Amino acid sequence: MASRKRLVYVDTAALVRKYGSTVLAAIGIALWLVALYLLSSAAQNSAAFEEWLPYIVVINVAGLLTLSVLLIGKLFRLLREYRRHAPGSRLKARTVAIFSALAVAPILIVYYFSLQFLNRGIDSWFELEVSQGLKDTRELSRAALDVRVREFLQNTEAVARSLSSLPDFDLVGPLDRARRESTALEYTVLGAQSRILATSSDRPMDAVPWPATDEMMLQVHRGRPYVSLDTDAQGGYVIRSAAPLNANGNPGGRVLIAMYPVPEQLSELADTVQRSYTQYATLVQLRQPLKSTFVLILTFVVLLSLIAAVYGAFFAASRLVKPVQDLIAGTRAVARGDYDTQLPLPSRDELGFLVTSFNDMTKRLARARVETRRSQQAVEAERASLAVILARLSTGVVALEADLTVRTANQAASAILGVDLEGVVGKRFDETVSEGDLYQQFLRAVKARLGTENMDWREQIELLSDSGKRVLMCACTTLPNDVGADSGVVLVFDDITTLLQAQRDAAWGEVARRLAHEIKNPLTPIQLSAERMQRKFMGSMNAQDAQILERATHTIVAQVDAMKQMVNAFSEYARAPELQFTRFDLNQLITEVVDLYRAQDSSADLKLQLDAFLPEISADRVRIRQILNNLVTNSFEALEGRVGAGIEIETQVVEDAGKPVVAVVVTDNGPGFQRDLIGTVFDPYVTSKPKGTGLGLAIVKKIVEEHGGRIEADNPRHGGARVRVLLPLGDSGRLLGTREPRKGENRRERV
Amino acid sequence: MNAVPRQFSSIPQATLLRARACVIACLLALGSLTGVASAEGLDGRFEVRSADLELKDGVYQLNARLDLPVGDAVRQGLSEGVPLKLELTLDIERVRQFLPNSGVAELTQRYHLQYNTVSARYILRNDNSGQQESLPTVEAALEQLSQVRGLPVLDQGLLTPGRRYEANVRAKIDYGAVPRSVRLLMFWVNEWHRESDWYTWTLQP
Repeated sequence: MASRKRLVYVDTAALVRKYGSTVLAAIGIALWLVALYLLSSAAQNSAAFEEWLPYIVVINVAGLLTLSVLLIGKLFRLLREYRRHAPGSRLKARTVAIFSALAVAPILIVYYFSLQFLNRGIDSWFELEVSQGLKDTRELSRAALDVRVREFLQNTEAVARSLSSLPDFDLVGPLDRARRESTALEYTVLGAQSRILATSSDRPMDAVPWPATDEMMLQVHRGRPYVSLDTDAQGGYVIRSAAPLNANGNPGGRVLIAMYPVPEQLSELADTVQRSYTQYATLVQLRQPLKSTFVLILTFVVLLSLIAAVYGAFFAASRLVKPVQDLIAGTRAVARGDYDTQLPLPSRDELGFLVTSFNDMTKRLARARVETRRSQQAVEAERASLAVILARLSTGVVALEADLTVRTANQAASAILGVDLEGVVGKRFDETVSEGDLYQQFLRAVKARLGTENMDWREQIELLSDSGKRVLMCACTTLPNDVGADSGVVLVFDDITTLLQAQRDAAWGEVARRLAHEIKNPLTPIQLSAERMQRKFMGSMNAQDAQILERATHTIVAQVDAMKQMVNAFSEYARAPELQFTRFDLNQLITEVVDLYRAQDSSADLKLQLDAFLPEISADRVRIRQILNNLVTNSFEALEGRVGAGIEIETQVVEDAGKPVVAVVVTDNGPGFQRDLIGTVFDPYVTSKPKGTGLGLAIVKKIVEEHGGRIEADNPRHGGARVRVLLPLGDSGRLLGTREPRKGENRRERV
Repeated sequence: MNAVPRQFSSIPQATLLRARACVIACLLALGSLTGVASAEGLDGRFEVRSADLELKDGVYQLNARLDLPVGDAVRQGLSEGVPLKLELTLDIERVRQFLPNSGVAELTQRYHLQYNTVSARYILRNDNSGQQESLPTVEAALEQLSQVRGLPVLDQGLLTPGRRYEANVRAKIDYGAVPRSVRLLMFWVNEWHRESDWYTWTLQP
């Protein structure tokens, strides 16, 4: 549940991140449009919207600012991406520019013409004709009223003249009469200090007559009649006039003030003219503010439309470019090797088709990569198993490139050639220099063949080593190549020295067996016949003949004995006796044998260097003793007549082919094996001694091999000869846990 | 020129041109706005130059003198029929030592001045009393409007002798009939409505 909640939260956050700014912008634009509508209404009908106007203005300005900030942010982001050469930024910039131009240009044109229409439209309201018409109307009204005004003034002056001769106290009657005879609303005669001397009014309820104004009195006192068209408190028009009662001019004298009505129809017409004139004046005054307001609103609308259009251009460009950006990013990811890239499907249009194709392509690529990887793994596994096989192979394998660069070499090759061939991998085979003597000989032998055109060959190569002649069977094969080009060769070689030796041993065994069979049988009759001949004819011969016969028969018997011994030796060599395995201490056996020789012959110094921790071995004690006898005898014979002759017998436990074996090393300081014979010293009848039968070392080798061991002969660098016998421990061989020296055993014995 | 970064030079020329066109259009719009906004209206100093309360027949009467912000344009406008409204506010407060002042009386007097084109007279009307005055010239009308004489405002009995009072006078003037919405929209144009500072003096009956 927790993970599901988390998932929902992440999705919501992603949605908010993805669509938040868009939704905000949409809400902002909607609010702003409503505010603009209200604003335009407010400009036309102020009463209803005056209260809301500040809020509307604030909303508009806030919307404008918000949209501007959003737009500036988007512009900066686009500029940054453009400079950074972000994928798709150029396309986006171009799209935004085109969309913006397409949206902005018409708006600006409309704005320009709207401004023109606005200015000209408002100005047209106040064209000269209207103004002049109003003025003419005013003049006409004034002219129409002026006639009456003048009539009333003359009337007032006439009344004033008629009253001028009357005393103050006798004014009321004539004044009232005069008013009744005229259309005047009120007649009032003022005396000094504007004191009312008499008054007559058609409004008897109004006790107080209309007051005289300073202007009026000043003018009259200057001797000039006064008349004016005034408005009353009810909005109607009245004509007020004043004239001095003394026509000669008497400052501070009596003044007649008269008030006449203007006919209602005329008054209404005048009022209409006045209202129109006032409205026109108000409109004239409003002309500039209205223009400013309209221009302001228009500019607001245009600005916001511009910004909204550019923002919309960004939005549209983003929507349009997003799949392209995804494709670019996806292509880069594929170029990096990420074939699992899948792009979101934007729509079902051409871009959607492109994205679908891309997704299919990446799927196929991913599948192909998996298959390739699988094939590669199979090849690797095959190669690894081949490497294991090569490593375990006793046959040496060296693979060479077409340019004879060593591609690979197995352990057996290194072991056979006595060098570490891993060091020459990657180098040219014919240019490698190694310390190994065998390797150099091998290289020389192979180089001669590698230079020829025929690269498929098979040849036996003989090498000389310290331990004798080594025979290698070497085969060279051209490696196959798919395209048919020369792709190198592989050298396969095997050390067949042991095989040849075994074949030789088998042949010699057969020879020995036949000799024993064919020669030994006639020897006894020959000997018996010679002895019988001596006994029979000895007594009948003279002394001289008898002596000759005796010498002859003696020679025959002696040679037959010698031949018997020789045949017995062959028989011994050819015989395959039943081995009697017992557990015994090899060191003790060596000591016994050496003691025997020490007792019989002291011409050589016998030294023992025995491993005190040597375990008991399981072997045929008699045969092992024969080995020791033969080896020591061989050394004594080699050292015969040499001063300072010395023989050393050493035992130790060593590793051979990963298994512990007992090594018995017999070394002497004699002349050593002849170099040309060193490979065949274990063959029968190979000897450098005048008295040797040539079977000693052959028998030794045969016994060692019967025990499953191995024998090597070489000449140490400091001189002499060395024979190394390696015997397996057998079942009783226990190296660990029996590493205590046995009592009475000499670790180093000197004779 | 070589020092100009490559990324700058790689910006499309059309973008630059369009940006420049936008800026020019905005400047033109701003210019037209400011040009239009330079309409002629109220101009000059507007203040209560002097004011006092005079006790006459048991009634305090206000005498005040105003400096009106009317220039030639306003005079011209007035002569063409544009109305001018004046609102005079008198506020009398009792001064208290530790507490805020308490209001004693508040009086608002409204005047309306307009030219009657038919009679060629300037009509100054007191909106409170309905009385009106006809004046021949704009100068006379403005002179009449700018001074208040003997306006009864307060009965003597409302003020306690020995106490200290504070009288404040402020005037507002409206020229023409510009809607408030337009005035709000063009808030930076102060030509159609003005308010003076408070003129304050101490009164101790």
